[in-house]
Amino acid sequence: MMRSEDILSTIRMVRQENLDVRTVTLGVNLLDCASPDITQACEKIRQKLRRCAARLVPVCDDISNKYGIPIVNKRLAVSPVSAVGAAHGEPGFLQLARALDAACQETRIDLAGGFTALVQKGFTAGEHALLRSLPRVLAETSHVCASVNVASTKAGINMDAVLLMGELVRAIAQATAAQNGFGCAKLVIFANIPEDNPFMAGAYLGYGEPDCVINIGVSGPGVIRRALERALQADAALDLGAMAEEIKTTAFRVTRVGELIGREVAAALNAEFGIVDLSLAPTPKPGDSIGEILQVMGIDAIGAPGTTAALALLNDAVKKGGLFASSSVGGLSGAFIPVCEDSALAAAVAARHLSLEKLEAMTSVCSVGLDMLAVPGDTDARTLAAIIADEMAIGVVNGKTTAVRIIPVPGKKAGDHVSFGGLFGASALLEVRQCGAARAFVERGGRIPAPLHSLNN
Amino acid sequence: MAHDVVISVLTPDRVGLIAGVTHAVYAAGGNIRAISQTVLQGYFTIILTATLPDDCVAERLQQAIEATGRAGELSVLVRRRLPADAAPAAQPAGDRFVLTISGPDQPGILARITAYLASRGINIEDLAAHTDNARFLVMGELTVPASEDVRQLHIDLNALLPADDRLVTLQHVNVFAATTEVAFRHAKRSTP
Repeated sequence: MMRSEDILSTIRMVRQENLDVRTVTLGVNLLDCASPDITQACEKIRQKLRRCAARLVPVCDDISNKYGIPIVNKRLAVSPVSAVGAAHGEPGFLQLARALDAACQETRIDLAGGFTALVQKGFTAGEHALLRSLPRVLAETSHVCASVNVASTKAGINMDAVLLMGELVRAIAQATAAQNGFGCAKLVIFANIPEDNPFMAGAYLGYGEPDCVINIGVSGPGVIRRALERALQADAALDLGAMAEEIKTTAFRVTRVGELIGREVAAALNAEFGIVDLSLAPTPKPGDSIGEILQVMGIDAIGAPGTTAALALLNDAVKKGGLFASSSVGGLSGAFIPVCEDSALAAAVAARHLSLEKLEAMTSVCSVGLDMLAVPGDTDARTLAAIIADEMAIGVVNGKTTAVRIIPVPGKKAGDHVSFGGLFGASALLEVRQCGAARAFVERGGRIPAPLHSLNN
Repeated sequence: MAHDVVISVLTPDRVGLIAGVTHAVYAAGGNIRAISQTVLQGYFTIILTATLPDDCVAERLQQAIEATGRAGELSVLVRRRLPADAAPAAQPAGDRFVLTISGPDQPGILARITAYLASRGINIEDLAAHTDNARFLVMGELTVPASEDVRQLHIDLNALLPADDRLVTLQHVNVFAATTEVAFRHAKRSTP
């Protein structure tokens, strides 16, 4: 029999502190579905997903029931569709998106990522067509998510792609204006995109991945927050080193649960087990927030000086705890700061404590980047491109993944409130200062060269 | 010919009890095979199995163990372990779960819960319970047959208790092992 303290502490994590598996993401290779006939390609996709993905949701439900751990999302990540449909142009990509959407509907899968183009060094004709199709794809489908890698530490930043993405983000917002530009919430622009990330909207199945693989995204901001609160109750003078230890220990436990569930799902589906992404992913539910962890650490107003250091401590401790827990850590693995999806961050934006510039600084020490950021609808494409370029530069120079998921909300201004519903959350719109001031820079296009890999002070 | 015995001792706890019991077994020429011992609310209890030489009978060993304490202090039982007892009972197939139940204390709760578990063919592998400030806490490790729906068991167990202020959890043992054991190993993939 185990120690009763261990039993009670695990039960507390599961029952009272929102411990869950945020996503079980099934990666499926669709490269073998390419065909000279687009209708046939769509049919092959339908058949392959029926074969590989039909049991994902029932298996997850059974295992969730067996272990008493909620699995919040069941998702699909497919090979870059830019490769599957390269020969068919914009209309072909729209057909492929509809086929993917229908397959998700049929299999009760929440979202499918992989409408992806890797253009960090330049475009192929197929990738260009996929990008042009995005406004319609994201407006006319419910489940399809897109990602575009415009930069990497090895290749530098493709500024032509960055400028195009600025224009496309605006076009997607307009195409989904009736839903407050929600289409943009299904598009992530990356530097150093990971091939095994299970989180949406940026998940896709990389070229080095198996034919069929299970990747797990664990969560647990609520568990970490409560662990810190308990530690502070026991010792109000707890120093930051001791806080880091507490976070590490808790991240270890959270990661272990994710791997346990992931390996069971993979075995039941006869798929490879890929990775556990130990990111702290908040939800709009109070008590499940990264911002609240920062507050418990002593940052009263998120965005105040000290916020970046607190986030750096949190991010590092989460990684260390997770890495000790599992030999299969991958994906993004760190703390996410998606503004709309985190009630405390959204409140900090509404209170004008948290600015775009501070968020950008925070992304240099944590996972992902400028995520689920609502900005005024009249933010011009060049300014959006400049925001993207800045974020890509942080990723490229620091050799890490960064990303932008930004939503210019049509008809709304800074400080207005927008709600996307469900896990996508709500927030006030952030002010974008000095719009248009970098226009000449981003219009130059070309490629910002890859950075130096030595003398890196 | 050597033979096996099972020995149990119940007594108020004090220092030196195990030393006395094990020395009595040793002095009788016995060899201890296994021991389980605990102290519950001031009462010491131990169960052990041992192999005794041919010339040592159970009654004599019982008297020798009783003599390690004051008169009437130790309740000792020594019984011959028959081959049929030695063979472990067929273990029910199923997964291990940890049951925890807490709530306001009242007579009959444990009887209701254990009767329900028995009715579902659920074997209790280990059980501990205590009361504190008029609340009880039960923790047990169960083997739940694969045919049982864990969610339904949870609903049924909840229904056995007064609705106010109760907590019932039934959680797979692997969740605890994964979150507390540094060296926890995941099961290997069953099929290639």
